Amino acid sequence: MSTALACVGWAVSALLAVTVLRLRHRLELAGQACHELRGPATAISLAAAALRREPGGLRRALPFEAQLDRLRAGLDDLEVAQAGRRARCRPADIPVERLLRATAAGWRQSARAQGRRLRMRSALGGAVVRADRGRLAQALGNLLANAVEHGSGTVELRGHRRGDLVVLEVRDGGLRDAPRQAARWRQPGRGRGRGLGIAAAAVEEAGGTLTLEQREGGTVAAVELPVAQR
Amino acid sequence: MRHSLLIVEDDAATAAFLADNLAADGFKVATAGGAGEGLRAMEVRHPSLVLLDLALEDGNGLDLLDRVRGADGMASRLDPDVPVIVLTGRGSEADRVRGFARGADDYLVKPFHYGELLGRVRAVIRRAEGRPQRGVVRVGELTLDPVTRAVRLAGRPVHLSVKEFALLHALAEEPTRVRSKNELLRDVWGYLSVGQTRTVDAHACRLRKKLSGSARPWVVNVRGVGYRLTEAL
Repeated sequence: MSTALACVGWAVSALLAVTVLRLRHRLELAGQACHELRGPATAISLAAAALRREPGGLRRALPFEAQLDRLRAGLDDLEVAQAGRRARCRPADIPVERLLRATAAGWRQSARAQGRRLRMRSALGGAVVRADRGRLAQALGNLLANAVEHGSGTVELRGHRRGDLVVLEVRDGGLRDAPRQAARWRQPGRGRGRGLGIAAAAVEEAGGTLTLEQREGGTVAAVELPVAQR
Repeated sequence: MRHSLLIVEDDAATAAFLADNLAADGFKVATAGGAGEGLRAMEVRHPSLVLLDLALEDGNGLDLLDRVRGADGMASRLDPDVPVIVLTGRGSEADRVRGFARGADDYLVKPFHYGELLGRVRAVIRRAEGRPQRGVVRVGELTLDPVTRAVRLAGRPVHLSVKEFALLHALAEEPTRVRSKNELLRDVWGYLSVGQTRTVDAHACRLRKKLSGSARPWVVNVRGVGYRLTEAL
C-alpha cells in the first residue's frame, strides 16, 4: 500500500515538474517574442517620425500615431502578463482632439476597404484629459475596430464637452449583436467581446465610463472622461 | 556647436531611422552595429553622447558600459564620463535599476516616442556640458589629449596653434574619412556660409609639415574634395 502511495506521489511530482518546466518554457518564448516585437515597433515609430518631416508628412504620419500608442501599450501588457499582471498605468495630460484625429486616420483606410466611410466630428477644442495615452488609444482603437469590422453604414467618431466631461462617441449603423457583446464586457478572453473588455478597462482606469447603446438607427459606444484639472 | 552622437544599435532599420531623425535635428551622428565597433568608435570619435542598445549581437551593452565607466580617462582612449542613454526592450523595474547602477545617465524603453528621446538627449547633453573632455585620441603613432591639448607623434611632442589642434582633432574623429573643406570650415572655424577661402589649405599645409618625419603621411589632401587624417589604418 505504502509503495503504491509512494509511486503515486512520485508520479504526481514528476507531472508537476514537467508542467512547471513547460510553463517556464512558454513564458520564456513569450518574453522573447515580446522583445523581438519591440525592435520593429521602434523602427516603425522612428520611420513615422522621419515621415513627419517631409512635405505633407504630418498628415501621412498621423495614422501611425494612435496605432503605435496601442502597440506600445500592448507590448507593455504582454511583458508583464508573464508575471500575471497588467502593465502599470502611466497617466499624462492628453489633448484629446489630436488623439481622436490620429485614431480616425488610423482606421479610415480599413473602413474604406470595406466600402464604408469614417467621419470625424470634434468640438473638443483644446480639451485635455488625464489618462494613459496607450490605454486611451487602445480603448478608442477597439471601439472603432468593432464599428468598422462588425457594424454597418457610416462610422462616426465624435467628440464634445459636457460640463466637466469629455464625451467621445463611436457611432455606426448598427452592431448586430450589441446586447450580447455588452454582456461579455466583464468576461476577458471571450472571442469578440475581448476588444470591448479592453476598452472598458482602459476607460475605467482613466476614471471614466463606457456605455454601449443600441438606438434607433444604430449603435453608439460612448466614452466619458473627466477633463483634466490644470 | 553641433554635438556628436554615437548610436550603438544592431538593428539596422532602427539605427538608420534614428540617425536620420537626429541628423535632421542638427546632430552629427555616427552608428556602430555592435559592442566591439561601438567601443572602437567611442575611442576614436569621442561623442558628446552615446545611445546604447543592450542586446547586441556580439555582446551585452551593459558590459560595454562597464568598460567605459571603468576606463581611467588618461591612458585609455575612452572617456569614462561620456553621457550614455540606454535604449532597450527590457523595461522592468529591475532592468531599469540595473541600467542606472551600471552607469546609464538615462534609460528609455523601446518602442519610444522620438520626441521624448530627443528631449532626453538634449537634457542629458545640457547637464553634461561644462564637464572636462577626457580621453586621449590615438591614431597610429599619433596621440592627442583634448584636456592638455598635447600632441605627440611617436612620443615626440608636436606644438600646434589653437586652430591647427582643432583641425587635427576634427580629422582624428574619423581618421580615414575625407572631410570636405566646407565641413571643416563649419566645424573648426564655425563658418556658416562658405566663400572662396584658402584658410583650410593653409592650416592643413602647416599641420602636415609639423607632422612630417613619420613613415605614414598625415593630413592627406584628396584633390577637389578635402582632407583625411591618414590612409587606411
